[in-house]
Amino acid sequence: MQPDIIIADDHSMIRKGMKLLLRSQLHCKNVTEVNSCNGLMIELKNGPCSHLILDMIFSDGTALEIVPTIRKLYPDLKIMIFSMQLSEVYADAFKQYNIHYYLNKSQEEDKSLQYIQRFLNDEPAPAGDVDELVQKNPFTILAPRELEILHYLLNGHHTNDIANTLNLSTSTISTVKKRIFDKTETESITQLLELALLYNISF
Amino acid sequence: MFFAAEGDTTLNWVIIGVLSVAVIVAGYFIVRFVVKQVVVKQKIFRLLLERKAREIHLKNEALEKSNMIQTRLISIISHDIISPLRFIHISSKNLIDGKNEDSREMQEEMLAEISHTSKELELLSTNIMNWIKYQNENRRMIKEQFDLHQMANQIFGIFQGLARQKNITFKNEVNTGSILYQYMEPVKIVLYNLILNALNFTEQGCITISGGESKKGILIKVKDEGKGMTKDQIDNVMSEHFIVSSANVDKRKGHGLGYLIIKDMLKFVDAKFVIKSKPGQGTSVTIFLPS
Repeated sequence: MQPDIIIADDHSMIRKGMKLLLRSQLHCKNVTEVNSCNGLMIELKNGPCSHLILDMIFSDGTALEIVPTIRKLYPDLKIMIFSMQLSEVYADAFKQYNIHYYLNKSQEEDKSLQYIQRFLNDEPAPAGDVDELVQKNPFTILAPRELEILHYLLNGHHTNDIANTLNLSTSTISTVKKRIFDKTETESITQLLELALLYNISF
Repeated sequence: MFFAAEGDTTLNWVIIGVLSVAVIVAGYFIVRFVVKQVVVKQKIFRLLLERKAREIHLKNEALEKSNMIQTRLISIISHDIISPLRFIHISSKNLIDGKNEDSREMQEEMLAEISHTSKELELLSTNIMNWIKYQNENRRMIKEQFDLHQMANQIFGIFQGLARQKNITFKNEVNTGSILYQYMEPVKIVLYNLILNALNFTEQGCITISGGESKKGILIKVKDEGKGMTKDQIDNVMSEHFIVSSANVDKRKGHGLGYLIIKDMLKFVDAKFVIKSKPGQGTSVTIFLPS
């Protein structure tokens, strides 16, 4: 059976490149492209798909924000996160939504293809190597909600804006913000930015 | 004699008394004067100290901002330059290896995407370079003579391809032969970014540059017929703390680098700018360069 794939990514070059790979290397013909969270939700509503390849950061939100809704509406949809972000920091946050595939965009082409093949065949995701350096990344201990808010903090948004965007109260945002500072042992956004840069968290 | 002597003594006492009172009064005034001097000096010192503290605070803020911008740039380079480049490479390699089964249509789609993306990468890299070039505060700048009409045409030339794809026309309303005496490169970088913004946020229509010399300086206006901006978006761009806007218009992702550079450049040349816009009714940006 041919899988029905949606690629959600905000860069058209990456969508087209993936589509080409899927077609020419993995012989998948049914590939749809979407470029935003909103676009993805509309596309999912329009018709069934079997597999979703999902980037993390979009112009209108992040994958962390829409995954809970997607899971609720489409519990059987197979999802793979495809992002520049480090899997050791973010992969765990997605596991609680039953998403076990996480492919880094900087992975070599051959390995990426193998990984996608396994994803499309519904074979279990290969276990990632546990690296000692990885465990030292201070961002790995952040909870999903904290990672979600971290993204907006690093982008220079104020507490009020974040509360509006995520539909949460300002006091919740302040609490989470404080927890992020505590967990990463930072005291200001500037320090948080430096740390993010050091540990390759892009935003 | 005794009496007189006694009178003398009394007089002496009186004189001594008057003298001591005079000395005390004089002393009091001297002490008061000195204290006052010290207080004034202290006040001056405190003011100086406060001023220095303010200066340091401002410097610190500027430094922090510049740091933030640099961090932001690194993120833009990784997200918007490196990963698209990777996929240009992967895709073109796949096209070359092409196991003829890719349809001709697919190949054409890929080539169009590669050509489009590489152009965007060129524009983005140019802009990052522009910004870095002017980060050195001690950079010497000189005013030059240049033709604004020609400059507008030159910048339109850079974007001709993009404009044609989107059915956008350019109109140069600057009088031919408008010779200006100004900092040429900053003006050019600002216009480049204003036109790039206009292009990104316009689906179809016309982008116009107009302007020329007035009594007090130079006015240049870039006008588009695009999506326009809300008041909040304008306030955000104008705000002192504007780092990067995450304001998005449809498919375009604005990383706000454009306005960051525009504001930086205008500060260098002591210029001001005004944005006039309403959602759906296009945007016009006017810059004023004092002579």
